[in-house]
Amino acid sequence: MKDMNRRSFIKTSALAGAAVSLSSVKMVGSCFAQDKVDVAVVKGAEAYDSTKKAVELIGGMSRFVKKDARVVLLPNVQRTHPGTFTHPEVVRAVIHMCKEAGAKEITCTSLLSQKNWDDSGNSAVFKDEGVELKLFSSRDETAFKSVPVPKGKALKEAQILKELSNHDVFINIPIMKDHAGNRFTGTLKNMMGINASASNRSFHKDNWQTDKDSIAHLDQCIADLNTVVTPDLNVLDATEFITTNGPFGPGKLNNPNTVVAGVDRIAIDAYSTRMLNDLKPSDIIMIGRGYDHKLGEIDLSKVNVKEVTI
Amino acid sequence: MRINIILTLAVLFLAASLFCYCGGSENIGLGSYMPGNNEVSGWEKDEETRIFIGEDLWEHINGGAEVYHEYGFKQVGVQDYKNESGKSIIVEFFEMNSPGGAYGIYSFKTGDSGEILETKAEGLFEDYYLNFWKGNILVTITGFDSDNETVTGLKNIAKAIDSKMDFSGDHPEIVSKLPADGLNPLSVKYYTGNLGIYNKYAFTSENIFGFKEAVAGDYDSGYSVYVMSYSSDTEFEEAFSRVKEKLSGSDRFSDFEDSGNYFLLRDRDNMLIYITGAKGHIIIVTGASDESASNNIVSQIQ
Repeated sequence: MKDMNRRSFIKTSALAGAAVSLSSVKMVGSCFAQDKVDVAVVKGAEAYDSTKKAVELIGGMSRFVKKDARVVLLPNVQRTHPGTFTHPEVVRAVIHMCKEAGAKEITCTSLLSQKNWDDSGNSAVFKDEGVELKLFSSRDETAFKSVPVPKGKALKEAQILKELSNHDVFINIPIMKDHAGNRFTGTLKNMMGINASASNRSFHKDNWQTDKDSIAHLDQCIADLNTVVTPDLNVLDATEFITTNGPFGPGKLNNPNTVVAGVDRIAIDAYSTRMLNDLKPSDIIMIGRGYDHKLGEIDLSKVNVKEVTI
Repeated sequence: MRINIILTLAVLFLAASLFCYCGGSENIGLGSYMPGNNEVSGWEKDEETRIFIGEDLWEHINGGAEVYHEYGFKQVGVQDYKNESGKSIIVEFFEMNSPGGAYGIYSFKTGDSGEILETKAEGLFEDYYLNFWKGNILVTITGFDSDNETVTGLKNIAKAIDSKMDFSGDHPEIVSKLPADGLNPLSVKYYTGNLGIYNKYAFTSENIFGFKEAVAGDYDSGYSVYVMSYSSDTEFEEAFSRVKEKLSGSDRFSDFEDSGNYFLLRDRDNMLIYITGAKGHIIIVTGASDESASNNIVSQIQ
């Protein structure tokens, strides 16, 4: 994926700034003030507006979606309890931006049930926007392709949804939230959504019992999986999420009304931990293991994070 | 002819009995605890009760299943309800292997504040959901908002289920070991494995404690106390040595001081961690002001 050139970035930023009046902008690393944004963090009352602004700040959707591109989306609707699924208006904003960028086809793939998509309100968005929802059964072995994980320390082979390879652009749209297994789920963990259940099951221990020796096995497998699947863009929904009893809930809700966008999964997850019970990136094993795999930057002082309130 | 009919009925009865037995955990009839359409004013069942047994829990709650298994999950019945204005409520009726497991997952899932339920079972309402437990059973009822209509529905459904639950079981004995003075009773958590305690404070992802059961609670002064029990003195002694070795060597902690009967550490937030062992238990105090205060807190534990 080519980076946006500086002139077009400045132009886009200027337009975005004009569109969002009364906004406040904060550069976390001031030394990066003139450089491109790695991670955009937008706080605002409307999830739709925050999503559009966040993607604009990292260069706009046209940086990722070219004319006639076929786009596949991966939101998370694991459950429909409050704060456990990607907000439909975050998904709608991504779809609109893909269309504006000239996408020929937009599809959402999932191993989750139709009921989850219906109850979360995302089915209605797809219907409104003419997006096809392709559901696959995890039990259908023909839907998956065996993919070796050469850098894997715990995971040696993944079972990736074949449908993914029918598209030019892969956009990861997780919700961040608590997770009883590894305390945090965000961009990295959402990749389990395109890996077959049989493979995901190996991330967990036999009979779903707690690992008697270490609970880091799940985190290592997630980091390993991310070495063979790379989203072109990540849009993380932090508008409302559970901070306890994750990933299923019900649990205590936090409402930062924030959307985080970028390419670097490690940086996005590292940044987002602070919104969840004041965790630090080093508290989340999978983020460290992902960094060890050189998937991104864990040290936020080395990343250009742009925080905006609209 | 009559003999044939009797034989056929006998075979059918036997088959039905075997079916129920093979269903194993289904024998307490989870669906029968779900209020029917006329039981709770304004709320009706939406679809049939779904039951997930043993490992199939993953199909219901996916990646969150492990902590339930750690507490001894047996099965869950899930029932959706709706009302005329289109609001929804979900009831989950969890059967665990023991009252300790039910209390444990209840304590894990509930927060440190909320409204105590007016049910025979111990329960807590929090914002848009509630939990209560009795015997081997944990019931979780979730709404999708905190409107009056939803909250009233949650509580009325809870009362209807509570009235049908004829189970018994007390808190595990170890819970009483926490000093009562200054304890927030809603903060008490009972653990049967490392994953549960990892969610309260991540000492380490390795299961270095290896306890049989544990309890933790938070106190008004800002500190927390953990008490872990072991099956034998040998297990306790091995665990205490292992914990000391692993934590003193961990890059997550610093300022290690070994005082013989206890040792001290500080975490990355400079929080003091005091760990001691006595009478087959590992006792941990986190967040006390100093060593002397930690010693004083530990002296209150029976």
